[in-house]
Amino acid sequence: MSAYSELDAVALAAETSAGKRSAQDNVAACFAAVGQLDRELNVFLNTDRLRAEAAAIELDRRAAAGEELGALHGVPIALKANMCTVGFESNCASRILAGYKAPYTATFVERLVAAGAIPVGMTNMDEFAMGSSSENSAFGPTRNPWDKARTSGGSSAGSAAAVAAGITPIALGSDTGGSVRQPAALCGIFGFKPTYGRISRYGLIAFGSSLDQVSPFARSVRDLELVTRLMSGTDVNDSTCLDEPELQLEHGDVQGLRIGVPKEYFADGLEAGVRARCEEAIATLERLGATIVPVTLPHSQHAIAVYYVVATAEASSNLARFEGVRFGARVEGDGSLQGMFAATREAGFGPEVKRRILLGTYVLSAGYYDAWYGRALKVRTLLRRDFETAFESCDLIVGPTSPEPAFELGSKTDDPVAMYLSDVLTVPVSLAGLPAASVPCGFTDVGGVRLPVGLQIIGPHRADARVLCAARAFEAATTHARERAPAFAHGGAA
Amino acid sequence: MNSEPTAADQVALVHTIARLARLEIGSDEATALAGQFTSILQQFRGLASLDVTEVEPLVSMSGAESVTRADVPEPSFAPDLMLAAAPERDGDFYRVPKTVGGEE
Repeated sequence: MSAYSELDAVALAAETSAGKRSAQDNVAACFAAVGQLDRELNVFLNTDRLRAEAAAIELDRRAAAGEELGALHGVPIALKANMCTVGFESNCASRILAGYKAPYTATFVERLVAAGAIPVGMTNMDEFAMGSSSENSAFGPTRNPWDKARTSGGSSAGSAAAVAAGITPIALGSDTGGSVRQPAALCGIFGFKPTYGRISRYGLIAFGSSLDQVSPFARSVRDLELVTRLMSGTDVNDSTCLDEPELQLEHGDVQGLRIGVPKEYFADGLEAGVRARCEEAIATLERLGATIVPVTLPHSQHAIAVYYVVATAEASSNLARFEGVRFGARVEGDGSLQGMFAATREAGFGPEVKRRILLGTYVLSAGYYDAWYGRALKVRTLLRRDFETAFESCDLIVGPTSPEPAFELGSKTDDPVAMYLSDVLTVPVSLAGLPAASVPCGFTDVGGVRLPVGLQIIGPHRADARVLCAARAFEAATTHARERAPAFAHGGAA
Repeated sequence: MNSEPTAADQVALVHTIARLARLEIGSDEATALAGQFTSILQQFRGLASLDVTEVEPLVSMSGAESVTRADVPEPSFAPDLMLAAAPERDGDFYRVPKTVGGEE
């Protein structure tokens, strides 16, 4: 029996289904890792060992009875704390939802549980997914398994750290402007944002509804494929969910593919090691048979502005529902209804969430709507056209996922604009609704600290399988993803 | 977005927006937010330089592919389940402060 933390989900499910280990062994090993690492990394906001053990006992019973077992049979999974899951507290790392337990389970969680996955806990995040470092969590930041003085990215910080630290083989995050791809890059693991609409958002607590997409983290590309495939499919509870065909990988290599490299993604400001590793990765793809072609995405410089207008506008509307009546905490205020709303929201939301609600309310307000929100939606069209034009001359686009590796906690917290710029390479893809993966492509040395770098592979609308094919080819040709962080759950054959 | 409002204008604007957003913010917080707003919006000014007169806004990511379901009644959540997270309830109702005679 291999060590739990060394196996990806496909291998763990195979060993468990074959009777080499039990689902209860997996839960025990997972919680041993939680005990070993959670205190120092701050991965989870809450876990439920008893619930996970009960699920494992039932799965082991099914195996013993010879019943059909799912593709994730007995695999522990970590879920971001904005995912409704009965029995767990889905508090979005916000004081306003302290103690909130959803009355239903998200469609995508139900589909993974039906395949045998075992939710073990809800992971830390930037409050309501607003941030790039998890420092906007009301419960303190998650620390990077590669260097605990640094961020594990954001907003899906805890889910990324859970996988990078070997606590779970797979985890779910949500990617609105890069909230899965950026932490995957900063933690040295794989992350995949499917085409907008591939996965139902029913049960994902909304931030930016035209951008939000449930996205998996994993230590192998085949796990990304499996989890994405299991979660895909229409859902009567989400009218934006696409009727996508089964995720079928077209081929297992990049032979003959034209890979576009946008000059805008290699502009000044890239950390030197990030630039070097991504250029080496492009050379590797060329060696594997791809043709490299220069492309241009001329409106990229406007993506951050468009994103922070559109996403804050949507957030100001989505977060209006948190007013102390139906969920979470209430503060009475001056005794009036409006006073209760305002006092509850003032006490419950952290500074960045308030900043974004205000910005979003501003860009939607009379007198400013046309100049900001209306204009941003038009520039969003231009950004999408940039990609459509580029994809006329290439099959995929690659570039860095993040302009820099994991930064030190506290280094950007006083400057919202500097923090927003962390997303400069991921938000254009989100605004266009495209699929994109972040794959480990090596390391950069920053002040004597070795930190992972991620390569972003972007596909045309609905070309999710092509993105994953290229990711798989790159994974097979390199060893970066096999390296383990210093804070990794070693030990325990279980 | 081309005028240059004063710092006092910005603080007043933040208070107005906060009222619209149902947020109760203090004067120190409003002053800090006004400064941050100015620097954030300054960064976003490039949007105004683009000619978008002939460009359609991108309002829906799924286009005309909206998925619908049959218009038939289905079981819904039990009141007790939905009210379980309420800060205050009264039987099968959410309890809120008195609204008659209040402002707005």
